[in-house]
Amino acid sequence: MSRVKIAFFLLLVILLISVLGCVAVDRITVQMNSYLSVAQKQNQSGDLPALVQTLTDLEQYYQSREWLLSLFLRRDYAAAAEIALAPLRSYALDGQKTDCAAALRTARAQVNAVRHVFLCFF
Amino acid sequence: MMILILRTLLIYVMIIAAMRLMGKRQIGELQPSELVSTILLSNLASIPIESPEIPLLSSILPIFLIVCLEILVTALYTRSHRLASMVSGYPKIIVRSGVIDQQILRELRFTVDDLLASLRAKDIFRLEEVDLALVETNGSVSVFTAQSSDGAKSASDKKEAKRPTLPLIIDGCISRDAATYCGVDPGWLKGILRKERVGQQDILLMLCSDDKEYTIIKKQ
Repeated sequence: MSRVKIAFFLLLVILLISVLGCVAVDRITVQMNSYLSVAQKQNQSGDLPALVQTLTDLEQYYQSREWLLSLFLRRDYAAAAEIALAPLRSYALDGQKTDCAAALRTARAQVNAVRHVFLCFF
Repeated sequence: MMILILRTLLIYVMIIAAMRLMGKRQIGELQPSELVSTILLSNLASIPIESPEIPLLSSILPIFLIVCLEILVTALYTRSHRLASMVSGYPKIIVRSGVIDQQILRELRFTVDDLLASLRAKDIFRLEEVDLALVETNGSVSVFTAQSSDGAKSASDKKEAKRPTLPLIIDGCISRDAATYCGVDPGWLKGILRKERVGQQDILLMLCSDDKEYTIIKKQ
């Protein structure tokens, strides 16, 4: 009977961790997408200082949450998102609007791919 | 490389803990659900060892989920014989008084070679020695030989010789195979239950032999 109680307890813990993981990945990717949306608008309007600030905030946000993502995501997916974010500030600082726009779209697609892999059943 | 060693150690300790939690059932002969969970556990355990890019939680959670499900399902078996039969099946009589039941053999996809090999493994080299043989739910064959009712030389000895019993009622459910083996019909059974003043649902186990000797164990 004690094994059954342990099993129930473990099951609850597993469900809790799974739900927390889904909520965490969902919130992090939604937040990253919102940073990227703001960055896209700023890039289109040519507001370079605000764009650089947004991308700096995005980088800092990602670095602060990376440990959480690495608990739940495959390293290669998490790394791909990081690689997609890497060149953004450089493009923004150099004022390369077209390249920055393309890189922002790539980053967004990568974040959406992470969401899809982790949160979708099929 | 050090990370790989540490992950392997952690997974190893975890699997031992998982096996310990599941208990001796898992290490002995396996029922179908136990075999499935053992296979899944071994596959899941190897994934984080082989693939360092996969987070440990991706293996730890499914491993313990399977352990929990296995424990809860086996706990449910004790409460519902119907569920246990649905998942694990039930034993089938394959030989009776030296005669093979060929239909059961076909149903089980058991060849005669398999059957003879199982008998030989129990040091039985003559089919006529087999009084009763059952294929259990874990695929093993249990045999009651004519020699088990042994030393029976005179007719009176043979009468007193013990006959194998099968579970006629388990947890309130009647086993049709056992009823056929014992040669009992519903009318006889009703009469016995009336005589013993017990309802069918109140019976934990009723054992019966083919000479209609029975034992009833009531639920507590």
